[in-house]
Amino acid sequence: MKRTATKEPPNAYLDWRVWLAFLILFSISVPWYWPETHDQTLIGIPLWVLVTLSSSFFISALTAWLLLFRWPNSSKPEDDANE
Amino acid sequence: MNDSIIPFGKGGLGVIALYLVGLLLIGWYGRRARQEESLRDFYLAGPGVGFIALLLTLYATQYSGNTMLGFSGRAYRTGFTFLVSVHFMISIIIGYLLFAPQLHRLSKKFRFITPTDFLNHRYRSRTVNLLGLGIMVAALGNYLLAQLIAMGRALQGLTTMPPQTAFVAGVIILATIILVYETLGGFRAVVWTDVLQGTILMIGFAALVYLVLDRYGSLGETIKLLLEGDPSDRAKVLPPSANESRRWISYVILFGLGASLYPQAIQRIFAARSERGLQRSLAVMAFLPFTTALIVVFVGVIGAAHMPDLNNAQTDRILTLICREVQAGSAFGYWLVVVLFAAILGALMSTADSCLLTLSSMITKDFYHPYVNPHASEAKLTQLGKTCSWIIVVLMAGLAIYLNQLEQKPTLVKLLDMKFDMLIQLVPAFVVGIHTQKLRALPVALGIVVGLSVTFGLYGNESVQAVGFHSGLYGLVANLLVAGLGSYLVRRLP
Repeated sequence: MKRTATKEPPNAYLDWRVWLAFLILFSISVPWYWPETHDQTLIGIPLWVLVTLSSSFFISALTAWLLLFRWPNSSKPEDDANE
Repeated sequence: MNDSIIPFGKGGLGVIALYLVGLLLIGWYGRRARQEESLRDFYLAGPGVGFIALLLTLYATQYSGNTMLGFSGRAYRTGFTFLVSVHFMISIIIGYLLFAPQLHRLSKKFRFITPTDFLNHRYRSRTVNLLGLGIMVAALGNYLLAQLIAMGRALQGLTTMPPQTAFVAGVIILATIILVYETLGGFRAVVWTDVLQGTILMIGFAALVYLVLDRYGSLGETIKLLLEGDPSDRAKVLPPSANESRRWISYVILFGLGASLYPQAIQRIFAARSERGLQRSLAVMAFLPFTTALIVVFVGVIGAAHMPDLNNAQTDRILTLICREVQAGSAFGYWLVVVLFAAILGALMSTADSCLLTLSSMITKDFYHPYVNPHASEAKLTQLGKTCSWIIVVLMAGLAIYLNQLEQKPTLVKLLDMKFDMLIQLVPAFVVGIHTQKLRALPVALGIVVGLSVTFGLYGNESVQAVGFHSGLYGLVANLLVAGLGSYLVRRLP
């Protein structure tokens, strides 16, 4: 059977720089590089937990920024009119 | 008295009853708001929903009872290593970046109702449709079953009735309430109840933070207690092992790709009234793991420090045990626990109702209509969808009650793992297929079959578990290879 053509505008999210940024942030936030015996704390919280959570927050911020400002073929202002 | 029971007085039970009656009233309002007797109106609320409603329905649907009950138990057992849950909940939103903009636009243009509508539009292949339908129905059924089991357990923790009687009553009462409001108002009722449930869930998480800190002191004190404990306690605050780190990465990929393909979440992308509303809802969702999963991990770790020595089965009830202690402490604690319990019910019911609605829409529209009765009218299909919901719930509730009687019960987290291993096999069909026309139907179908075979073939394999990656990821690699190479070869054929 014949396929239906799906012509879509290019997706800005597929830019390699976006995924490099995610890769760097995930490399920092996944605690693979901490020695298993590392027990240093800062303000009572394990240091590795603080690093993981801080970089996770940056991952969320990057995701939100992409969604709000780099949405492919961003919607026109009138899209909001019916909300 | 059983230590996992939170005995609610008449006041507490009255508030819970009022909340449940409120859900039924919302269902009735949803029925009054319907615009026509059509599948689109019943399953997507006609033109769809705006920013706030979309955000709260995404939130209430994504954060299930498992988030509060299963996650806290898991954090009790593994400690801060379960911060992976914050990561994988964020990665779901990253997963949407890969296909949500295109899918939303296509759904508006071609009036999609179910995820299979996209597969049909893209591949025009019965095999791909049926494979996609089968995986999504299995994943949804699995998820619905987990919520029903959790509903039974929730009531078990509330009353002094014999546990099995309380379990059966919990499943039947809560499932019936869901069925009634959903049959009355369809997607509108589900979304509007999600607004109420999502709001209570947010309040519930705030209440949880307050009551745990108030009862057990700061997180710093808890961590100090664990660091001074035996090696198994210390392990809960120390960095993960190499194997656990690989598992962490595996979870991020599995959830990011698998959970973003949840059929009920895809239907919410279709139901977004505008692109702007969808953008804003997803942007807020990217931060919500810090107000949900993170809190639950802290609760689990605090529980591990202050209530050590729980056996494996008891750890999933850590939240209930903490609630019981807080409730006994003061009148204020009692009412905070009532709010928290309403939030847990909200989390369970909002996830279950979304699964149920999506399941009935897929069985009716993607199976019954094309293969059984192609001439059925929209009104008849809508009616059939409602009947279908009742049949699904009767079957699933029966299964939940049966499973509860078994000695070896599947834990919530085990159930959760299986469906993502299956759903992730739809990545080539949805995520790759939406961006390129080069993927062809037959290799995509073959890729899914190979991916599932590898996934189930490796399931429980000790060497695979030793490496740390989920079997679904190996299946996905095989799946992508077959779909990609197969499509290349098909294009080269004369």
